[in-house]
Amino acid sequence: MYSTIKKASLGLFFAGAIAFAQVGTTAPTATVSVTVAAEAALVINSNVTLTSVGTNFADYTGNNTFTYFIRTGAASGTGSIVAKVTSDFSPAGGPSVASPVTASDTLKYTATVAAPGTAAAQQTISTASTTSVASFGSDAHSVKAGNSGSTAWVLSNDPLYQTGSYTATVTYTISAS
Amino acid sequence: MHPPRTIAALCLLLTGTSLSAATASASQTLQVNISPAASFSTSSYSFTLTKSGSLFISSGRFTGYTANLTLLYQARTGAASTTAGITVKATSDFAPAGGPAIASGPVLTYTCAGPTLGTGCTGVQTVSTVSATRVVTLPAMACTGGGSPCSNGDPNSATMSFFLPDDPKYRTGFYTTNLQFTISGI
Repeated sequence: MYSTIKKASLGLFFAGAIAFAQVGTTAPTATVSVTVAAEAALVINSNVTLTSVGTNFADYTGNNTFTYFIRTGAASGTGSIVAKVTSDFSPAGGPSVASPVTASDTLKYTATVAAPGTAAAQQTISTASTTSVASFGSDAHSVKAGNSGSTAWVLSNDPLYQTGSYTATVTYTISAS
Repeated sequence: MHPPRTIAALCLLLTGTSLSAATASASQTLQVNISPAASFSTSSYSFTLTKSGSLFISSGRFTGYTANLTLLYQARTGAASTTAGITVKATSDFAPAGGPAIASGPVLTYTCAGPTLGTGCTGVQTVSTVSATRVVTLPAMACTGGGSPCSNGDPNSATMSFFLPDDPKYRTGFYTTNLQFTISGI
């Protein structure tokens, strides 16, 4: 009987030693998922002042730059940059996109964009509808810092304009799917 | 000379032979080793990183995907614990290819907040596929639940805020990766 009790006592100590070896760490896992969708953004880097240089009544010209960020769908995605005059020149008496003093007066632009964008041909901008600046195909990606683009503007210089400073607002919209 | 455990066994034998007395008592020495231990309240987690459109628009650039994960854990650390705590490591990179890749650089990061036992990581930590990074550090002689000297809460909790930068170069699609958490009371 002495022998039996002695073994029981030793058994308690072994149990403690086994527990020390087995516990202490566990390692659950986590599954992390993310859906990367098509998206796009655009930053206008500066406003532009149109100036007439050279001969009298030479058209007003100017250039502004923008940076675009885009990711289009891998399979059948597409993207675009469009522009529209959302606020016509003011005050009255000067140039106007919606109601030019002479029918042939226009505000036009020629776009330049870095790949993967494709610049549109020269456009006459409107207050009524958007016009194309650039387009993108499927699986198009800008770099993380963005890709560059610019629009070179030409505004008719009509002697009928009253002297003064006139301001209009052009809104660029970039989209991706 | 017998060790203490053997002497206790002999005492049992002696008292066993005196049961005919009016009063008898017996004693036995019980010993248990309370070892450091720690565990999570669940064996697996699953969460999705998402992005807010408003953040994207206001900043004018691709921002990132975020998610919060609350870990629930119980722990009892030893008197000489030096490595006790919670760590995390990516056991696989994002798949399929074409999206974010942890192995290519500091992609998936996290910050720690509010551990109810121990100290959360400081600053921004980067999840690695190579080595585990710290989430919570547990001090020596710490324990879960029951109030002082242990924590009041049971289980304890800690929140991780994950951030995955967005990059236009990622192809559109659904990507997953696996993280492995380790908790130690040693």
